[in-house]
Amino acid sequence: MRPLRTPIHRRALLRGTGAAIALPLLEAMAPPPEPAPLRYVCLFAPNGMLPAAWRPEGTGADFKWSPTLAPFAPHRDRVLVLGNLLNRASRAGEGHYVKTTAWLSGAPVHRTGGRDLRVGKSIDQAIAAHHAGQTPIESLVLGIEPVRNRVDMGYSTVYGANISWRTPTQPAPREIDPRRAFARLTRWSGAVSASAEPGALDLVLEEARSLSRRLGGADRAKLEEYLESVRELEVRLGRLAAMETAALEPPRGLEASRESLPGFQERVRLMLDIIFEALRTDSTRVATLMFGNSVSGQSFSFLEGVEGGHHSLSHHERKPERMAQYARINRWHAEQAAYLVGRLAGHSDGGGSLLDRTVVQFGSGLADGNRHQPDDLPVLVAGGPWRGGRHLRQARPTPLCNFYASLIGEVSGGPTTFGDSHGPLQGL
Amino acid sequence: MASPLLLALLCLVPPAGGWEGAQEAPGALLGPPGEARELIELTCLECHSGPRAEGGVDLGAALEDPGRAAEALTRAVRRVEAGEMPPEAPLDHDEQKLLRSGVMAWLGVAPDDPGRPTLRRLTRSQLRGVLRDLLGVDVEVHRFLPREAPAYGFDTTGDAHFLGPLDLERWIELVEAILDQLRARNLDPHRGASLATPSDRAAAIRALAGRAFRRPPTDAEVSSRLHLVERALVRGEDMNAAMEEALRSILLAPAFVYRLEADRPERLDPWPLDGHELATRLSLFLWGTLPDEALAEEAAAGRLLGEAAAQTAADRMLRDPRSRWLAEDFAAQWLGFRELEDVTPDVRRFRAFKPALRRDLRLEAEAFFADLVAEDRSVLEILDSDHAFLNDRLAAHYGLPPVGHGDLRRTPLTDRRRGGVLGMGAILTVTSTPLRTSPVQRGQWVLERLLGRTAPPPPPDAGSLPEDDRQKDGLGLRERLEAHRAQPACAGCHALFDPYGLALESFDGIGRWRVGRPGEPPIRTGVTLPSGAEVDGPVGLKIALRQDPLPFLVALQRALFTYAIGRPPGLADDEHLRVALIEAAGDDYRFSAIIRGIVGTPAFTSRRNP
Repeated sequence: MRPLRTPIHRRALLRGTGAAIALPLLEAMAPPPEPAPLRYVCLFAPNGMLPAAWRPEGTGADFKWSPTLAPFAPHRDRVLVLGNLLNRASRAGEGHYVKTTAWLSGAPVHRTGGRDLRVGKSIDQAIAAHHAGQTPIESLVLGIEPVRNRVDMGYSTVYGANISWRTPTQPAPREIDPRRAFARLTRWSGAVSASAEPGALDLVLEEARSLSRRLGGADRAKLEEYLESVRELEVRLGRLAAMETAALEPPRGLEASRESLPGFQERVRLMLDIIFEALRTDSTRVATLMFGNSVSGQSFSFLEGVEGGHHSLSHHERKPERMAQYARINRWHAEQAAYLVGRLAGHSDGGGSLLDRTVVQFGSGLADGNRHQPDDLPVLVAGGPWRGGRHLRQARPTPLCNFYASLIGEVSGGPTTFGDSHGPLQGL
Repeated sequence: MASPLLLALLCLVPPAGGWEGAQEAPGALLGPPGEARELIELTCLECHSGPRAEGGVDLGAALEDPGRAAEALTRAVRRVEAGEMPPEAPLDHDEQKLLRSGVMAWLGVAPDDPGRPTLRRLTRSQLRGVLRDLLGVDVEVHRFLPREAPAYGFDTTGDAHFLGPLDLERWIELVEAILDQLRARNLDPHRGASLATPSDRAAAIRALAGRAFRRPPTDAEVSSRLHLVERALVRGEDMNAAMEEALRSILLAPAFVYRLEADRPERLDPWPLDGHELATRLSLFLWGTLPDEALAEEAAAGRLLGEAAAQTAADRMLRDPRSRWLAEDFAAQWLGFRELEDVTPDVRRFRAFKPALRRDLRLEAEAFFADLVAEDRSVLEILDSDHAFLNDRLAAHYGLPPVGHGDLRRTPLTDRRRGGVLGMGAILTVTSTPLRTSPVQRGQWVLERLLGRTAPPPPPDAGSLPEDDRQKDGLGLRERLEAHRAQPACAGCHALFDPYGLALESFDGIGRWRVGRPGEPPIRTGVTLPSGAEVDGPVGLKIALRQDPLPFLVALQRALFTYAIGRPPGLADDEHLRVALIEAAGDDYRFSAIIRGIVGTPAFTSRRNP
């Protein structure tokens, strides 16, 4: 295997940019506005969370940690547990897929084995679009498991493998190999000067343009994806020169992972470290990580007292011994999220910590894995502009999108609407 | 054996010519033809309407907006024609005809409609072969590009081929790795062509782009690349570096990345694909790589046009060793043994499951299918055959006598427990969970892959079986499953697939033959199949599947169709496939006959505007 290195030859690639980089982009090179921009991280756990073990006792500031959420105890004053939020549109459709893929958009999902995949633009991508042009990478979209090859219950597994949607019809591509995810960060960080030589990229961009005029229907849409990606790459390359990012430090264990793909636990930890590095260096301001795909059967036998795969244990049939194992898996996920929260809290960023200007969302797209309902969803938020240390339970079932509405309002300073929201989240 | 089957085939779908309503132009219909609509309202909507529609199939909503519900309506027509719906009183032949023609009219589908697959990218598996043929490089494409998301079970469907910014970056990395390798190995992508003058260089670019784009490049495509090269030379780059500019812009071009086929806005009717487009479809389908010179010449000479030409070409291509691709790529996806790389049998429970075994299991499945293609055997051997591909390791794994060699070779079998896919460790492993077999998953695998049916989704509160089949209460997996099925909510669906899985219970979680462990309930494999047939164990199951092979043959056809054409067959394709199967029956269902049926459909050889 070849050594870890920067795989795009910058010189070669950059020769392909140049004349096409328009002047108005210079505006994008202005220093980021004050106060420090709000970042967003979303950590998705598949297969729901056992409600009895998730939900804290008591509401408001006087809540008691639940078994699942106890790992967040050290960060109590920075944590909000959100209760009674629902994703109404994803009640339609059996199983997991709809609830996974629409978790960050609240959009209705078109049931299909492939043709006309459609969800809705997700909140992370909306935030990324807001920050576009200010960091080398718009968003870091990570996963752990490869997509599976089948149609399940009439839904393409594309749905089960994607929570981040760039557009209603196009998922944001994921990286599932930590080495490659970090290599990509490295490739994009640091100042590089672009040559003014038009080259391969300009040429293929022009060809794609002329082709897409001659094609119709879905073919044109596919070609426009390509076109958009080339155009975006040129733009990003063009403004790299003006961006200065801190030097990246490879996460511990990344080099060791060169020989073979690391195991599940190491992979998750590396991904979290990479998210931290990306935020620390301001290489991106948005990151999502799926600990597993919908219906993940990941074995958790590495946990004491747990025997077997995630999904089948999530169908606990209300049997105490199975519920206990399911809750233990849920807690493991909380431990991972709390680890990242701890790293962000421990890194100073200007006057405060990195966590002060980062919203970390953790949870799942359905509540109880035994029932698949998208009501009273498990959602925890750490960091960000809000007062923490509270279990904020809505009096009535409230759209999850109300939270996203509040979030996009904080990020953009603009209107607080998103998806099926009725307005900002009360009490936040 | 063929004649009762032929009879069944003839009855399956109304004959061509009986498509009242479907002949009219879609625009001419303001609403669904009333009679078919009435038929659905009267016979289907009682159960299939509203948010709590049976099986999640809301035909009420489908009637409101048929265009959005094409998949659901297509499935409904087929289930009605199979006599499965409505459950109490299946529709008679005339009603079925009425339903089919009505739905086809709503969906705007004419009988010879070739449909329109969504624009496809070269898949990463195809790219490896393409790059080898194009440039002589061997690049580990899978290190650069992620597994394509599948649609309809195959990675060759364009609907799930996305190309976001990250994908483009990966593609660029791949291109740079290719250039690295060309330099390191001192390979000449221009195959010795002279590069002395600008016109030499233009010719070299034209030749390379022609192979890469699978068609002659336009003058603009050549001159723009020549321009890059000449400018690099002026900059003072050496010839190799300058020519790399052209290569880079060829490998990044949409004409290379995508499988472009031209639209013809001036045409109202479908038109036959041009020779180059058809050659590309054939070669990527059957070989997973670029057309060879013979095929390209046929195309350039204008001889590769229409169904008969496609069939003749396919016959030759199947006899070529490159058709092994169908085993490595198509069969691996259809039968699911590609997932062998993802499964994680418990290391303590299944100590025997070492990397070498994992590899052999995959190779066995591949070798079996490759032999079927190469020797042009009957596809029914997929269900049951008198041989298997074994080496000593696999023979030991299967409890068979040693074969005396380490490489996989065709080995005659003396009993019928192995032979065919149902006895293959690869299949039996990917349908198991880490600690045990899964009769439910195995049963669903048989139902979906071999019989082409999908099981309805389980109710939310369905429950599941224990992770481990070694439970303290002494109940076997089968007894637990029986208890589960005693709940009326579960019984109906599980009866559709459990029996197939239970009949395979004599194979353990990694495909070894097993008898019950002492002190535990013996393994019972006697089942009643959904057809009512009583069978015992894998041998009985295989015999039953062979006795009524029609569902299997249709399932295989549909899988090949989806893989080859990039969309699942629709209602217009059913008739063509039915006729093709009748023709294949006369040829004992040889693999080549099945393939002729696929490449002979209008969907394979022609195209229409959106």
